[in-house]
Amino acid sequence: MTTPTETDQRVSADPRISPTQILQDLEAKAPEERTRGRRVAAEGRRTNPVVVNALRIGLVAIVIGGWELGARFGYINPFFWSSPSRIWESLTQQVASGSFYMDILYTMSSAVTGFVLGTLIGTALGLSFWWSKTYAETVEPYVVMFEALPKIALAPLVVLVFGVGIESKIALATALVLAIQALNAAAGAKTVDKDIIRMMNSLGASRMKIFRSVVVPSTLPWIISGLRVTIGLALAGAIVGEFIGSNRGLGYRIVYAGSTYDIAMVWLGVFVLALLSIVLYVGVGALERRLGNQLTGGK
Amino acid sequence: MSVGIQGSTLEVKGVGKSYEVVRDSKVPPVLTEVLQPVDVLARPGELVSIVGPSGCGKSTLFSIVAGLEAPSVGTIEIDGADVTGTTGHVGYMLQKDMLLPWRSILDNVILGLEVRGVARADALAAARPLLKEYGLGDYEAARPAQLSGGMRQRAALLRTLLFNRPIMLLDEPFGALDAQTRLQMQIWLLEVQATFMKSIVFVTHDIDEAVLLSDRIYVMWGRPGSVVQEIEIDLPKPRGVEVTTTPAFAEYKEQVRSILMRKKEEVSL
Repeated sequence: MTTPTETDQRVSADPRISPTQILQDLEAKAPEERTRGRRVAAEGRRTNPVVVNALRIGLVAIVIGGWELGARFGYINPFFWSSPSRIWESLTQQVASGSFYMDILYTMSSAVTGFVLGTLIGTALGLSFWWSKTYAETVEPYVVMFEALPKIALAPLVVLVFGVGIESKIALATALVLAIQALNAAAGAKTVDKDIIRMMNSLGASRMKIFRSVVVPSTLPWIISGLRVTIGLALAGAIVGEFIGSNRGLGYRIVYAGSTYDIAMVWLGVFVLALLSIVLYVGVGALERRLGNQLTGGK
Repeated sequence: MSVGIQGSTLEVKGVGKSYEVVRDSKVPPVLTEVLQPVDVLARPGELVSIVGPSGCGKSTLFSIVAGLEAPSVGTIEIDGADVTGTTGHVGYMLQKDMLLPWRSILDNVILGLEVRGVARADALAAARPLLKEYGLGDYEAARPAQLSGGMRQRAALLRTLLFNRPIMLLDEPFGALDAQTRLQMQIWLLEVQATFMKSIVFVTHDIDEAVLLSDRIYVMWGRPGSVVQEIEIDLPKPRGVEVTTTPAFAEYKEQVRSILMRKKEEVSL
């Protein structure tokens, strides 16, 4: 039995290099120490919300101020670009006339109706794939194809079929939402925990019971996470529908203003649309949080 | 206290399983045996363990007993009635708790009763006192995500219990828990077992766990797997933690361990 010291000597006397020697040699070759005692960069540092908000407001003020001044002093052609003061004027006129609200309501209701219809039909379609593999494998490629297709290209056809009324706008909004949610639901239904299905089977549960108690609830988060994307698409569908053929709505107002060179009105339409999309987005976000908490118990 | 349906006799008679395995798409599938015919017996109120390394066919046997797969040969009998290949006769629990995250603990534990079509009010009336009795009374309305791993497994076991079948299959139910919690759960299972007198088939690869809990241990080995030894555990009941330090306990452990080690050496030779 040798002592540890003797072992060390024996190993280092060996022509082959000992494991500890390898590390020692490596250490000798390593460049001068730079990694030690370094302070961690500001990964976890928080921003100051007051500063951020002040900067945001400042940015808007600079853009609007620059735009206004540029237009007044001839650096920006107000015929093409209009100017904040003209847009403001346009706004006060529109608010006074009152029909503007009806246009906003029209666009919003066709977008929301399309959003709801698309979500329901898409979810039903996606979930139906769970019932039969043959059916799913037959139909799914076509749904993927429809999803990939720029559905905006269908707009003229949709307007021909559904007319210039609100139906065509709803149809376009629905089409945009439907395909995405169908694929979301199908993907969600595929990821259902196999062991939970086995457990349900061992209990002797029927297919319908498994579908209702396991497949539908575990697919819902997929649908819900798609909502914030699809609300924007629904709005886009409604606007495009109005572009193609309509006599009401924000999209119609924008196209009409554009063709009569009323650029201030175009901008006003765009800004109102942006505001509308933020309102819808925040609304869906709140819905998403509530449903999400319902599903997971809000961890 | 004695609630629910007491145990039945579960008899696994010469159950074996072969799959058609596709090794190469050009040649026809090869019939591969994964489980040699095995016999397992669990009498009313008995807990029997199946011990063996992974891949020895434990889980296959388990699925067959649960009725999720049909055996290639042999039959499953409960109190003499042939139930081979049919589900709904046994409660079933895995290492994963498989609690539905969107349901409260209360709604999770009555799932089995719900599937059986028991009225919700009756199911709740049965579940509430059990949750209270086993330390989950304050968590009725909680979601699984809010509970610790041990509590979730407790809820999963209660769900299995409330399915109210005479036979329960537990596949490494405590495998994912830390050592401390696992021991607590094992002691708890012994209490539950003493109260309800179910027939339990328990799969594990933890020898300590098997010896502590079992009336009988089936040691499985090999590919295809088979039962290589059957050991009656004749330790006094009711058992508690103190039994784990007795010489008899150590002897049983050594007996199981030596069989597995010997088998391992046979393979490596």
